Amino acid sequence: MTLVLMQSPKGGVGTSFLTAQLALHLAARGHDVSALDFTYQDALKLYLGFVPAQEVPDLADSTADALVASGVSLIQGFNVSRRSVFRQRLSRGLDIPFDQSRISIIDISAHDRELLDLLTPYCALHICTLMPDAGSLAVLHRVGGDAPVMSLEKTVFVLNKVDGRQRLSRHSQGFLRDLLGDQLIASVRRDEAVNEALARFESIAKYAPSSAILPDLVEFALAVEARLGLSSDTIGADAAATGGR
Amino acid sequence: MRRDARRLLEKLSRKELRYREFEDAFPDTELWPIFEVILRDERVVGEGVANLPDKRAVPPPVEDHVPPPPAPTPLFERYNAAQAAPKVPPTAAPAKGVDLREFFSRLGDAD
Repeated sequence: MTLVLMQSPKGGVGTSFLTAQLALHLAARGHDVSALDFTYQDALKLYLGFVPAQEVPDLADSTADALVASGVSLIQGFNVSRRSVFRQRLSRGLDIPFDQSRISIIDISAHDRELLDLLTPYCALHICTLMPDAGSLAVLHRVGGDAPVMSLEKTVFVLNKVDGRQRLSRHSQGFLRDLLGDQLIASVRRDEAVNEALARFESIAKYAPSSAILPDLVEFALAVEARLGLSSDTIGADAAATGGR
Repeated sequence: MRRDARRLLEKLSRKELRYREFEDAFPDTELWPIFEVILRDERVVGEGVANLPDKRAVPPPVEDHVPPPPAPTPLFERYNAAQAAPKVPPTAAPAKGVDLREFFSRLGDAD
């Protein structure tokens, strides 16, 4: 498996949304993808087109069938992650034989730094979502833990809700581009249609097929794919009709 | 699509919207104080870069009528150099596979 961690020290920046979109786009490009929700909010399912009442199979129950949305297997891992034995065993540094053929994307809460640290040794990539605002910039130093942010080899950034009409948003995007260089792999523009689509339990591609963020999301997925070394011209083009059941 | 957007498209006899990037009026990024704080934070840029002498004073955020800030200083140039350095790609893991769900389930088993 190829493990991708989605975690930001700043909550409310759209990490769950981007987790779902990344999973959907990679699945649309022919990859075998699982999305694991390790957050208390249990909101990842909404971005995959499921209603709040939908039960998501628990990671601890290996016999239950996964919930599948557009080729993405959705699993709830929050309960398992709360168990002390789970964290203890992860901290021991188990020798896991990874299989590159499957991509598992884990959505981790902003506050759960401990889980991020425990899973990082096993991951191929940690994607940190930021917004181009003061709130995200103020917590940038928290991304690296003990190491400087710019020295993190597994960590990349995606800028979400970029609004070119807003001065600070514009300047922050330019600043972060200069500061992070190749570590900033994608920018996704702000579009209220994301919120509206969510309220309808529809995919953004279906609800707003002309949304400016659709190509941004494709670029994001392609950048991740490249970082993972999984780019292939033979894989079918991204249908862009990603999202929803 | 929102109704107001659809009506607008109908008036314009268009089927879809075209989005436009709003370019910054200034050629350079405005140096907001929070940017300066980040550039000097060792936890972000590392000790060596954070302690570089800064030749640029920290101006307050300028208003639209104020001329653009000066050209990038060596501080930014240093970042550009770092940006040009190739990053180490994610290392390929051993190929033998294991089911993720099975693995996590095993980890989460009660003692």
